[in-house]
Amino acid sequence: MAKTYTLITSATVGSGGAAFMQFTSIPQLYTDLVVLMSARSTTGSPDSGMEINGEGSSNISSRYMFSVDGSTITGSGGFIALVGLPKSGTTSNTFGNVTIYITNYTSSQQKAISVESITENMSSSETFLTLTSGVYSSSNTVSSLKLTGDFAQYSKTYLYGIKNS
Amino acid sequence: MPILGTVASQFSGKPFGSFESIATSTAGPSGLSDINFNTIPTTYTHLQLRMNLFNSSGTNAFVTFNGDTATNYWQHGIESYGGGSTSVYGGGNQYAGFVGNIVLSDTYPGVSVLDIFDYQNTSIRKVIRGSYGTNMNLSAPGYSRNFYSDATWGNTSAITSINIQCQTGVFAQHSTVSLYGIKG
Repeated sequence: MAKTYTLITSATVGSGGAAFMQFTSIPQLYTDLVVLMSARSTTGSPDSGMEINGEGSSNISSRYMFSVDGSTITGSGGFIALVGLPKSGTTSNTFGNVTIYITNYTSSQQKAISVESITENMSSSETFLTLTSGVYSSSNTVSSLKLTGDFAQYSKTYLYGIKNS
Repeated sequence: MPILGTVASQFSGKPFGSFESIATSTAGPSGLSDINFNTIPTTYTHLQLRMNLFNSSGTNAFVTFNGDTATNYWQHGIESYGGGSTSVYGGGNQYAGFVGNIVLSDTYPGVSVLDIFDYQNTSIRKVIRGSYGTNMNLSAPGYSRNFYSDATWGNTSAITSINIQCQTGVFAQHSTVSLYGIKG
């Protein structure tokens, strides 16, 4: 049976926190990539994003739909927004979760990106649901990913390779 | 603050698949009032439930962990239903999945995928992302709907068992729930 869903590597944030988590030299052995992330912020900002090959805005565009504390927000931009992370002062031990799917990452064509992410603060505030569609329009293959957000201890991310054969 | 990086190519080529089936439960002719997965293996990092459910009366299905049926779960979500109406909802609940007014049918299934992250990590409350959809075609278009939801179980214990309960009646024949494990 083909091994179509394979863990490539993972990263766990230690007690000092981390300004970002990144994967470099991503092997070009698979068809698609999946990133799973469980994270919390050390700061008063819930913002989190993703850079591809060191590019955070150029060659990247997205359209998103957020549900924030019961209100729905839609928009677009030159970035990939991941989730509103639980920030400092929110319910202890709550973490946001993100799934990122990147198709045909070894292709020279445009790479489609989908993001599904959530944060539940166990209250009526600081709760986020996010659906994002994006594209990386560079002809370069995806060789590195950087997740930004000032991550707290116990934040984790996992990189998986998906093979179509 | 330090950065955290990993050179991914150092870890490529692991000789195993990371997404595995743990168990599947299928309702026979008498149906099932609930579906349980007990003694969940500890060899995975994440879990995923995939559900394909039928019910003759149109009811709800509730997901709980480790036998906890108290109001220890919080959820928020967005839904689209009927002719395109949308709404948001949220609050404390006694269950983690399938937020209210799920209309099931003996003919048209309700389909859901729940992702449960870091189910063994005792430093975090467990977070569940869910999506649900049913389309009753032209027989009852007003009941067709889809959900996108989050939930947090306000407990840091490792998840060792999952219960999916049918609120009214039984999950009818051919209902299936599959549990998958994802290695990390």
